[in-house]
Amino acid sequence: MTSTPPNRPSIGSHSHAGEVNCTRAMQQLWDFLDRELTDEQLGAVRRHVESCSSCFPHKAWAERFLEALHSLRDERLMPPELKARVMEQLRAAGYAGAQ
Amino acid sequence: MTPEESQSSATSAAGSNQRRDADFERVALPWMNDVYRFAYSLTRNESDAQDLVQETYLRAFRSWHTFQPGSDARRWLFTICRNAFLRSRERTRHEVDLEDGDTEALALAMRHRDMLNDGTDRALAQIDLRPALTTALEQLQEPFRSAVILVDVEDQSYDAAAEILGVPIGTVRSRLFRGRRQLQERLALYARDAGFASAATAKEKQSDD
Repeated sequence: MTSTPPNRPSIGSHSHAGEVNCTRAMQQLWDFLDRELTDEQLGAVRRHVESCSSCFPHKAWAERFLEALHSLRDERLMPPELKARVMEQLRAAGYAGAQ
Repeated sequence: MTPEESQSSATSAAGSNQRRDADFERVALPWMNDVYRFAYSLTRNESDAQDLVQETYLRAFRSWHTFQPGSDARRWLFTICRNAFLRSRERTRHEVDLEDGDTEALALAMRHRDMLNDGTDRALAQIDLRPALTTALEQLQEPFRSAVILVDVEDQSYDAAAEILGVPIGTVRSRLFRGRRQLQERLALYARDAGFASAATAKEKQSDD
């Protein structure tokens, strides 16, 4: 495993407010898409990737990838009998709700 | 307040139980499918996942008084689920140290650049990613899988995922990015196997000339 360069900025810091280069933009691409940055950082990454022809395709692909991944939510549904088993157990533990 | 409020303490205890049950029904029960998905990601087995969901809801019901009204019920349930899972396995895993998230993120971008150059990206553009991702996610190893499921499928923040998994945010971040990288590797293989990549490369060569 490689070690972290000592002068590498941490997630929360930035050298120049409002401006990031390609390397920094790509390091923060996922944080950007996951909305895990401050508004200021989000703006900086957005401005870069929207205007940089080298970084833009990475962003477009990452967005499509995440969208497809998120859509898997609908694919694994619990088996219908599970709910009844959970409810039975909860009733035995004192639950008396309507469901 | 009802006219019966002055009757007996037994009645008011029953009333508070009724409220508890109604709250539990309204706030906790609707997330059963989500808990099941997360449980499945941990156990990778339907029957174990079902047992884990039952255990999770039983624990959740018994410790309902510790739930902060108005806070994120899914996050709370996922945490219980994860803890129940760990206890059922009686294991404390010592995870290998990972490269940091920034390095993972950069590696992903560089990998995608290769995919742009060798035609894989174009091949991927033509296929439905979902079936390939379903398989890839099944095959993804822990600890990357939980991180991907929580953040990418279940919409949890890095902070929430860190709490649920009991690890620092930086660890969630690097696991998540590593997991995404492995998924994308599998997607690239899938596209290549499907025979699209070579055709796309041929077309690209023509159009580049």
